[in-house]
Order: sequence, then C-alpha cells, then structure tokens
Amino acid sequence: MHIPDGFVSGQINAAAFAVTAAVGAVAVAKAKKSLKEKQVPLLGITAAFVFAAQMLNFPIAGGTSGHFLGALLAMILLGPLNGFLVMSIVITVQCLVFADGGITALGTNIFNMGLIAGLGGYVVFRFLLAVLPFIFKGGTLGDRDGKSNKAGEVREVISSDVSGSINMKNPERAGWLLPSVAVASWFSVVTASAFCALELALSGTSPFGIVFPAMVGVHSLIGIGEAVITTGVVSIVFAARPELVPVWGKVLRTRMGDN
Amino acid sequence: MKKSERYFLAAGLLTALFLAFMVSPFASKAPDGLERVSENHGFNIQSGPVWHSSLIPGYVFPGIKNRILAKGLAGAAGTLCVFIIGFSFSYIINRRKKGKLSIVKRIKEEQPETKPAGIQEGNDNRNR
Repeated sequence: MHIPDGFVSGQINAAAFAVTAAVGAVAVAKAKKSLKEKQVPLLGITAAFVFAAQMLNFPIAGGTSGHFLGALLAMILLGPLNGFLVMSIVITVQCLVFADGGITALGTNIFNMGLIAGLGGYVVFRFLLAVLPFIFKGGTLGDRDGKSNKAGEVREVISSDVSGSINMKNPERAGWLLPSVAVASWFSVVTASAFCALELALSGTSPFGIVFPAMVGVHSLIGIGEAVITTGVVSIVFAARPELVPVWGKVLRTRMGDN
Repeated sequence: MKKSERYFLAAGLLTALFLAFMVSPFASKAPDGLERVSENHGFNIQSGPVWHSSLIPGYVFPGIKNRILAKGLAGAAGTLCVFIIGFSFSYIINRRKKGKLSIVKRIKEEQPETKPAGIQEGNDNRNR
C-alpha cells in the first residue's frame, strides 16, 4: 500500500505530512517521559521485524500479492504512540533507502500505514477486549477479584513480572487477547486501504466508486494474512515472555470505560 | 533485564534477519494490492520517483549479479538499519529521561540524526 509519487495531490500530501509530524512530535515527547527500559530493545526489534515481514509478499487471488503491515502489532507490543514511531521509522527507511513509496507521499504513507492502520486496529482491539469477556461471561467484567480465573497462570506472570504495582485484576480478559488481535488486525489493513482509496479519489486519481471497492476488496483478503501473522507473533510473545510487554499489564487489566 | 529476556529478544532479532535474508528473496513478486488496483484501473502512470538517491532502490543490493543474494542482502541491510535507528532512538530517549546530563549535550546535537530525520528530509524535498 506504499503510495508512489504522483498518485496523491500536493494538498493531501501536505496535510497528511502535517498530521503525522504533529503526532510524531507528541509521541516523542510522551516517550521521553514514559518509555520504559524494557521497551528500548523491544522498540528496535519490533521495527526490525516489521521491516523484514513487510518484505514477504504472499500471493492472494488473481495474480496479486499482499504483505504484512505490522502497525497494530507495533502498537500492541509498545503502546499506540511508540508503535506509531516504529512505523514512522520503518516507512521512512523504506522510502529513503529502498525507494518504496514516493518521497512526496511519505507523510501520506505514514498516515495510512502507521496512524490509520495502527489506530483503526487498536480501537477495535481495545473495544473487543473490553466487550468480549462481558458478552461471553455474562457480566463478570466487573469482577475485580478475579475469582473465576482459568488464566490464573497468566495472572501470576503478569502481576509478578511487569512491575510491582500492576495486578492483573481481570484475568478473563487475557483469554480474549488473541481473538481480539485477529479481528482487529484485519480491520487495521482494511481501514488503511479505505483511507488510501479516499485519498486517491480526493486527488482525482481515480473515481471513488471504482477505487474504494477495489482497494477495500483486495485488502480484505490481505487482511487475513495480517491477522495470521499478528496473532501468531502476539501469541508467541504472550506465551513465552509476556513481561517484556509492559503495556499489557495495563491493557489486560483495564475495564470498560477505563480507556 | 533477565538473561531469558535477553535471549528472547535476541531470538526476535535473529528471526527478523532470517526472514529478510533467507525468505524475502522467495516472496511473491506479483503486484501488491495498491499496484494491482492502479494497473486494473489505469492510474499506474507515475510521475516517476522524485528522490533519486536511494542507496538500494527496489530492495536489490547494487553490484550483485545473483538476484537472490542481492535481495537477501538488501533485506538484511534494511532490517539492521531499522533496528539500529529504532534501538538508538529509544536508547537515547531513555538516557535523556534519566537525566544523565553528560550525554544529553552530545545527544542534543545528534538528535536530528535519529527519528525526525526522515520527516525533515521529506519536508525539504516537498519545498524544493
């Protein structure tokens, strides 16, 4: 979904550039205050993994391929703003070093594949994580004692390792982590493609009625690949070393409305 | 940080390098979603790239005849490059946060090298 030079109008590129620069500045300011030591190597490795995995185009229907985006993965592993920074680094390097995505469209590409893909997916992720346990457990959502916990081990790990202050109050939530990740990562790709189509239509490159269904259609297939990879990586990290992801202590504990 | 955590992180980085170096040369070469749509609907006529100084254009390492090796090397180089930028960016930010003043001054001069570099370059180009 890397937009080359000349696809999107100057105004849209400029606007997207302004938005991403502003979000980037906020993210850097926030990271200066709250980046944890454990996140230092994790940030570099997430960036490396996202870059490498983006090179692995997998074939989908009709002589078309798709590749992993990774924005939601980065946000889930590092929190939304740090995840956005990871995507900015990856997309900027792709653009400057590998000529993948036009330099005039750099802001637009970071906007689509970093901000929109990440946030679009992340909102769905947090929503599902809040709502699914509630729907399927008949209202144990408010059960802050965590009496009915199957995921007791998970709770142990998180409460003992993330930090002294974090207590996993809502262990049912951990069981819904992977389903939420899967659905949300599909949404992340599809949302990004919808915004990409919108930008192409607004630039007069292609009529909305044509480019929108085409982009969303193709990317709803690519989104399945995204879901498989994102869920796979999250499940490995969650099973092996969840304490490396300080964000999860907060995410998995948070109740509806605590966002 | 515990040893097991270090090993896990190292395994993550090695996985990324493995994917980029060994697997990416064999990835599908078919056009991706946006390329396919632009071809099908006739708007794939580009203005041509504006930036001509890419070191490794098209993920093919220059000067290497073997396409598989060229792509693998390009992937490994990019993965390392992105890792180093991401790691040093967060390392510097973390050091600053702790207020280690001795390093702060040095970093202040270096800082444009890290994260905002790409964005600023994009900006320069747009204004040209």
